[in-house]
Amino acid sequence: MSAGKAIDIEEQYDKIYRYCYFKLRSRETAEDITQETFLRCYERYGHYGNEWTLQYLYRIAHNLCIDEYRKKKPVQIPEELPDKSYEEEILTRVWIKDALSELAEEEKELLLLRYVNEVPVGVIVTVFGMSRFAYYRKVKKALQKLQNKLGVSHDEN
Amino acid sequence: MMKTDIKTVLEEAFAAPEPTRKKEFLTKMEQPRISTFTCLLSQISYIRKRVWLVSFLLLATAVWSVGYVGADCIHIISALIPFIALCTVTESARSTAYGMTELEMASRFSIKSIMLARLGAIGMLHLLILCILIPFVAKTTMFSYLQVGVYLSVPYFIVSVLGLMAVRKLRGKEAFYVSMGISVMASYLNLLGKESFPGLYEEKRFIWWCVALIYLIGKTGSEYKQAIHPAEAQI
Repeated sequence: MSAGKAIDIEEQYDKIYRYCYFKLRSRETAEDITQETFLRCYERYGHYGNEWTLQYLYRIAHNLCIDEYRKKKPVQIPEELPDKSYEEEILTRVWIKDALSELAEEEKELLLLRYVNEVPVGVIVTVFGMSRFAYYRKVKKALQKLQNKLGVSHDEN
Repeated sequence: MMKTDIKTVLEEAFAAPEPTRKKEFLTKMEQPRISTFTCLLSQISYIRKRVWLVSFLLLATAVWSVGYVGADCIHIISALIPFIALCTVTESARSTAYGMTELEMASRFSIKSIMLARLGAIGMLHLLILCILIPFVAKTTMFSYLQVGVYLSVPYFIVSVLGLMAVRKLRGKEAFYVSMGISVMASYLNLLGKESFPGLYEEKRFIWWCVALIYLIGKTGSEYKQAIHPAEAQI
């Protein structure tokens, strides 16, 4: 999805919420920030949908998360493991989280935005204020670490 | 270690608990505005096909009569015009007749906008029909374009006013039958007019036609407003 195309509000709500949850580790606060993000977009554009850009959404969400984080350090609630019946799935999750814990915060954030939220590279570099070269370098480094730890395959394209 | 796709791994790792207030929030957020033109276009698709069919059939008949009947075509076309007006009247009654108010409540737009768009679309169609007919009739009669326009518009608005009043006061199929009866009566009187009131289309009486038209346009507007207002009141 390009930064300028019409966005699906419902889909983006989930993605922005996921991003805020990653940053703040609190469901309630993540949801508050998500809604605040959409309200600010609404305020700026005067209506809802077609002209909103991913860039603006993520920039607001990013800044609000930083503000929230500075206001109060979020309480590190131990994340609940999914209520799955299979021990193997639980172990897999723990193993993945363990691998991710070796990455820097920024690296984790980049991976979340690019691979999970599918944010275009152009939007990511604008939100973070970095060059594409720097982005590709950091993502490559993060993926390399994950690959080493997990033995996963990846394709940046 | 098992080889797993990076995306799947990351989706698992970054999974967040389900948001609890999403639905409520998205419902409260205002729906996107659309332009009047887009609203109009969207309502055109809801107008029944028979409305278009009847309008064009009547237009075809009217044009045919110009070619074959000559100067008397104005009486025939005036007799057909009430049935064109009937299309508008029955379309305005559709929402209340079929309980569409509740459905329209769930829509993004006010019922007033919906009805105005729909009736506006039909109105434009009928205006187009009139614009097509006027030059044809003026060519075969001794009347000017303005005269023809007024002579054809008056029966249209008479039927519109009476039909809308019937739709407002009556319910269901009864409103339709009464509107149909009004159209038939108006059509018959138009045909009769030629023989019974030969002086009706004289130049000296044209001013009264204009006065009648102005009054009927105002009255039609008032009836439309009253037709839309109860629909809003039901919400």
